[in-house]
Amino acid sequence: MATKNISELIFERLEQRLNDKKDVFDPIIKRLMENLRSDKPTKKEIEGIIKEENIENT
Amino acid sequence: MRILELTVENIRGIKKLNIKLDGNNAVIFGQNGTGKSAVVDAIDFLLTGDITRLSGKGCGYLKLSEHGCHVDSREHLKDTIVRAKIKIDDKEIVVERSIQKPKSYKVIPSSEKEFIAPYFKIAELGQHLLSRREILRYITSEAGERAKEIQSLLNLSNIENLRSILVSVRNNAESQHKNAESNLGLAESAIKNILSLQSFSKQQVLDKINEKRHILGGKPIDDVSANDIKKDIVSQLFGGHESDLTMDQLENTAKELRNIISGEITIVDEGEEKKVKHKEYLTEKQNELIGLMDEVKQEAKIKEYSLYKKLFEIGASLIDESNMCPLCGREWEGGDFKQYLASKQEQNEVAKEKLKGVDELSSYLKQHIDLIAKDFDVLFKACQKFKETEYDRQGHDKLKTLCEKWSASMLDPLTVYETEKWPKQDIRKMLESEVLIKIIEIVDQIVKDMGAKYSQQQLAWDALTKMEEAWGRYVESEKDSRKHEKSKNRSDLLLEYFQEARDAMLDGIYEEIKGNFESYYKAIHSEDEAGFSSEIKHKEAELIVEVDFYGRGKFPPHAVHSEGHQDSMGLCLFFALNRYLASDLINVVVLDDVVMSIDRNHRRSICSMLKKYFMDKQLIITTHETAWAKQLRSEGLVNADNMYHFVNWNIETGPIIEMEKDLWAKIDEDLAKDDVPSAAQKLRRNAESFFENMCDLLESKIVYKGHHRWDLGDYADSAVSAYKKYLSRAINNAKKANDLAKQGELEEIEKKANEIIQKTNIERWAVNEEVHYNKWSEMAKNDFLPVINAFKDLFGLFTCSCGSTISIMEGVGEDKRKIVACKCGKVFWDVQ
Repeated sequence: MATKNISELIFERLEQRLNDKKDVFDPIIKRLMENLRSDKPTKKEIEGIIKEENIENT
Repeated sequence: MRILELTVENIRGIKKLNIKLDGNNAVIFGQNGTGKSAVVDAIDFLLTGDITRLSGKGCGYLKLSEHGCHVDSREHLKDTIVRAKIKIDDKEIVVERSIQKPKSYKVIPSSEKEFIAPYFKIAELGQHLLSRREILRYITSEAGERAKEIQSLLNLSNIENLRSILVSVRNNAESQHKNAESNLGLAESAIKNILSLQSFSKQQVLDKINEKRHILGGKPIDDVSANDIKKDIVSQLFGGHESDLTMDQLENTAKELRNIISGEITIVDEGEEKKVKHKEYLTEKQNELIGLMDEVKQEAKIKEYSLYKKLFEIGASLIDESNMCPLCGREWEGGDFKQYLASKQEQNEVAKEKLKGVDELSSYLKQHIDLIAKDFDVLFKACQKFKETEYDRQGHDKLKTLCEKWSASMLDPLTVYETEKWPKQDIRKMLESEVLIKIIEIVDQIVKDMGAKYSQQQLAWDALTKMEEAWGRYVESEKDSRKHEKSKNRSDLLLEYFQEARDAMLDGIYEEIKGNFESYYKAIHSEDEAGFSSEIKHKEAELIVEVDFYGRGKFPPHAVHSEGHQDSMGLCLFFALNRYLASDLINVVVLDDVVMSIDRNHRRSICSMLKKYFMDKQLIITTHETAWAKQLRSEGLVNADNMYHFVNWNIETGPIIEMEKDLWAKIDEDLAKDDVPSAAQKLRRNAESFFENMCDLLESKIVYKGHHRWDLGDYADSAVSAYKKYLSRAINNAKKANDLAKQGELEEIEKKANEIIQKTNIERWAVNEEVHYNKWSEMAKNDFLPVINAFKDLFGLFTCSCGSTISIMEGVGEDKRKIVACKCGKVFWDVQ
């Protein structure tokens, strides 16, 4: 019995769109989606991932 | 999940209460202050661990631990308990929560805790309780607040927070990209100045470097790199000059700046090249930018162009040959609707272009302003080194601040425009600054002096030295620009895709909620608003709810509708959200005095709506109006066993309940004690209430009384008269239809009814208000028993064996004949 999780449905759709645009988002899709789905994603972390900075630096 | 039994101890106004609901609908009714809401609070607490009434605006000082318990139990929180036996599927489980530990709940058997957890997770959303106050939450709140409330219910607050973060990430990336572009332009400009280049290309730079290398006896190099610029050239002493600035650089920088403030540039205007004053052109671009921003600010639609784009696209795809508007369902009278929407789409493209124009113009201006600032800095350094005493330091600082303000404003002009941050002086003023003109004159003199002093070799050596640094900066800037361009593209697309995904999901959700909301509302207001429609849409962080008002357009729900209609809307929106959120997990719905402003007819429609759409729910309804409680029973929503009449309350005992189902049993108890007055009082009060309800259900007439006080005699006479009239009509109609069986059945009922009515007419004096004080004290139990039995029989005339009372209604079929019937259909009289 699954409760409705609208957020997850939104994330699934977003992930699909990012995968369709691999030329732009490779190789950050996995790390980005993990961060967006996390409890408290931060601007600093997302910026770090987008700029492909090392995890230690973000 | 349904509640079978509820036990409340020391919560709010309740000391101890136990009610058996058996998973069925229930109504709790009674005057104000009898403890009804305490039951609502108890259910709320059981399901959420909180009491809604104690939270929200104006309740900041209220605490669950101090105000959620019975006032005498504040020191004994362990005794504050709500316990319910609930049923999920075929499992019966006991759940218990105490104010001592409000966030946890006990499950018996404990092995079911995991099984029950998802239900309580949904329950914690609080979408099972609607009070009059909650209705306002949906109807009268601002769009932004409503969105927050509903997004919080939909568990979407995290999505909205994330959207804000992504907007911020995108804006940051855009600014950083603009800065990087500008820095790259400055790096190119610096190289152009050092090497006296008119335009910039890597080949031109290489050629110029090889030219300088040739002057110094070096061989040409194949590619530009900072390490190779002076490769194999032996350092020579050219007079020991070690300036940070080369003569060419100074000369060209002064030239570049002079060109901006007083020179001309070539532009292409309507396909033709023409020369214009550079200063005029920049001023023109600045004015163009301000004009565009004024338009964007005035027309909010421009900023929302992507939203409107979607609206027009969907609209156009839904229009067919009928030229009907897909939203309001009426024919478009303004010509070809498709063409109209196409023109709107074109206008929308213009809006998009305008925003693009703001971006392009601000980038163009930023690059030039940064260039002016950079050139100004270079010249200032020269002045400091060679002619410090002649230079206006204060004027320099002011101009530099103005340049910085312009540069910063161009990063996000739409946000900064018309705020304190927007520069007070325009670009023309900046370019006409005396400080700027003076510094160029000083530098011209410096260059003249240097030219007389240094040889060609010295100048070539200086240029290559300077190029080593400048090329390094250029390479870094180019790399940086590429990196920021990539980040900008990613953050742009990420935000776009995220919003697309969110919109697609929310569109679907709101469409479902809207569809249900309209169905429920139309079920209640089918007579006056059969064509009702609504719009529930989100716009960025807002949730817009607008409703149709008798085909005159769409308005906010609290704008033009009556208070009663607003209450209906709140109720329907609540149910629409509840249907979406609670799904089939939580069946309990508590309605706390929510029909206050709704008239009797529409309440009946509410009953029909609830029966049509919510028979899968367990409705627990509270009201201070006995008539509404009775109506719920007569409409078949609540059975007699689940009517809880709270007749009194005191601080020691909590609510005192009189249950209708116990009426005859309680009368028997009174009679057992020979307390006839008490029994007669109960009978009279209940009979009065019963016949008042029957008058309503049979649409019978009552003699008007100016003091608005009608008694049992008035109600019973009127109801009995209507009963007899309908029964007589039904017999006649059976005769006409040659339905002998029906005729016989009805005549038998009539005969029995006449006997009962005759008997109660004789006995009614005993419960007559005017005489009871004189007679009751003289009556013995055995005198009063026939009265009881007569009224039992009389009640029975109006009640079917299924338990529901009869009422007049419109029959089914083409002619829609009037019938008197019960809910189960066992009673069915054609009374047309």
